[in-house]
Amino acid sequence: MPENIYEPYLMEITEILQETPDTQTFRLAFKDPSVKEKFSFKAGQFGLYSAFGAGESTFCIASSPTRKDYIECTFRTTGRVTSELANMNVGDTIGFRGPYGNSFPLEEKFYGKNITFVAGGIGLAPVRCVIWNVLDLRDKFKDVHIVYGARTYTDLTYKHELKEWEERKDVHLVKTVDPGGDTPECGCTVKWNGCVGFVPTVLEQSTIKGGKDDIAVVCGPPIMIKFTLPVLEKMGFVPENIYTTLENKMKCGLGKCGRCNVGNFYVCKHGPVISYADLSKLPQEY
Amino acid sequence: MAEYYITQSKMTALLKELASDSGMEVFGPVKKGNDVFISKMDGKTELCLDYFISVNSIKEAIFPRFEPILKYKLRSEGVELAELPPIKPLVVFGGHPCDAASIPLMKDLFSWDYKDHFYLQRLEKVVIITLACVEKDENCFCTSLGGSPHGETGSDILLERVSKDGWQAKIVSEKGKKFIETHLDFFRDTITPEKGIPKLQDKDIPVMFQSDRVKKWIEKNFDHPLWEEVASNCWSCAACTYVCPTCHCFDITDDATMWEGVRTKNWDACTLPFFTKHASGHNPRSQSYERYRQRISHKYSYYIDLFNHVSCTGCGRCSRVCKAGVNILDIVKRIDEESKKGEK
Repeated sequence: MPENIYEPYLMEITEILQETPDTQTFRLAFKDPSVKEKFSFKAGQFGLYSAFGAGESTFCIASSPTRKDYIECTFRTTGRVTSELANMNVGDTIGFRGPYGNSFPLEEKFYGKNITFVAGGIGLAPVRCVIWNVLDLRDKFKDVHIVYGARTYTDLTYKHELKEWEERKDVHLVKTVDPGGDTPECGCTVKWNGCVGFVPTVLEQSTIKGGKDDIAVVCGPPIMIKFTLPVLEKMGFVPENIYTTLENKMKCGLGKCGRCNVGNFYVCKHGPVISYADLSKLPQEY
Repeated sequence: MAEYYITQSKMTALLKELASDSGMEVFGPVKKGNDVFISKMDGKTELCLDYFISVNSIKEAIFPRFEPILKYKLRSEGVELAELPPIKPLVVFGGHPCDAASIPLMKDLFSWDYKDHFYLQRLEKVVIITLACVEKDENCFCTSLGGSPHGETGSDILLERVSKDGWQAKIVSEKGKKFIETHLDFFRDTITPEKGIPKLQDKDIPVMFQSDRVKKWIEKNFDHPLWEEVASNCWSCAACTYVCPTCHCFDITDDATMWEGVRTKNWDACTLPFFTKHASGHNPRSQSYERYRQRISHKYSYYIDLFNHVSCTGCGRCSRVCKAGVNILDIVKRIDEESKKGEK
């Protein structure tokens, strides 16, 4: 670790995947071999990614800690930093500070349990990290379900991996697009073979059976989360076993800049991973 | 133990001498318009010694408004990190005990797991010379938070006025002792204490609320209408946070040319509208009263949960600077009243 806590590691972009028209995934390799050797993180942690000249932006680490030698991030082009990142090419250098924050309690609570992942849109990025972590240690878990949806077919991220999960016998994937999202846009020749409907509805109609020992991981737009939580509870999941990640604005990631807190809960230090039971104790300021 | 005294003229001379040294940073009270600010001095800066309290706090000497935290060169082969200037030793003169009391509070934050060496190294290198209070106004409430008009917390040297022209210097820390020993010539005069020199006692600033009772209320009343009532007048200008000795929120921004860039840590404020705005456009604290609620709750509740201390020293600067009439003492007293009602 450098003395300067704000000093990023230099990373080279080794692969770029255009997930949707406005969303990309970068695969990044540490330039310094000694950092690459030592670096480790846990599922759920995040980092500050910088486009030198534009600034820093916060994204989760979207790859699984079981995949060594690189990390991946997935971001949507929305502001100054992400626009700058979106214009970069393979071989370019970006900065990375991290890993920061807590993680999903895999060993402590997820081992030996049925796991259900529910994600919407770009919310699949933090969930995907856990999905691959679970799949890479498949024997340690019971049934694995994934419910993933986006507004339209075009907005689905990690399409190649959805296909992989669909083909695997040890994962059950339910994919969906919002009503109307299946209509092929001009030039799109894909015939949609998933569900049509909002994530909470599709989840409720699925064959997934919840239980008080089962684990659910939920990430997506606030509106999706809001309607998904009651469905999960109805299915038998208990708030202590429903996890999400909070996504407040951050600058330092180190508990100092003072903007990510929800009450006395610092998303960058105490989070971003939080159970629904703990979340419901916090003021609604996220 | 030896007694040390320093006259006003000697203090002025000492600070000027130190400020002429380019290897050192010196901050002292300087008059700008009708007000006095703790400002960075050079050898020519005129000090103002006739003031009640500076508009700003001593914060900016140790936690600068703009601070480079990274320098880099943009080359065709890639990015190369460059050296940052070293942190210079510094002397800060002219704050009051309510300024110095912020130091241990800020230290807790800047060393919370991740050590911010910019702040912590400056803290190691600073000598804080504090003036015990001889005046107060209706905004002062240090005693309500465990402070005192002649409190030593956070200072290296405390100056107590003994005559119209001078102070007795009280050594508070090792750093302070070393400073006096190094500059002994300036501290040699013996000043006979004069009669009639005003001196403020703790009882002159009565305790006006109980901070633990305030915390209890805040914990239970996030959605209470009182917040909107007391803080909706806030203009979200953030002046209160800039003058505050304990407000520490910052932004990190890049400034670059085609060839090189610098990343800076800049003062930011929880009361500013865009502070918490997400890239999506969603803002968890979109209303000005929600932001002011954060400011008070952070200081009087969340900070205690994290570091076991109220993050306010009762200096009253935020109330003095606010042109919208938002007064922290009135608000905290009001919360205390509400809390008392609840206890019955």
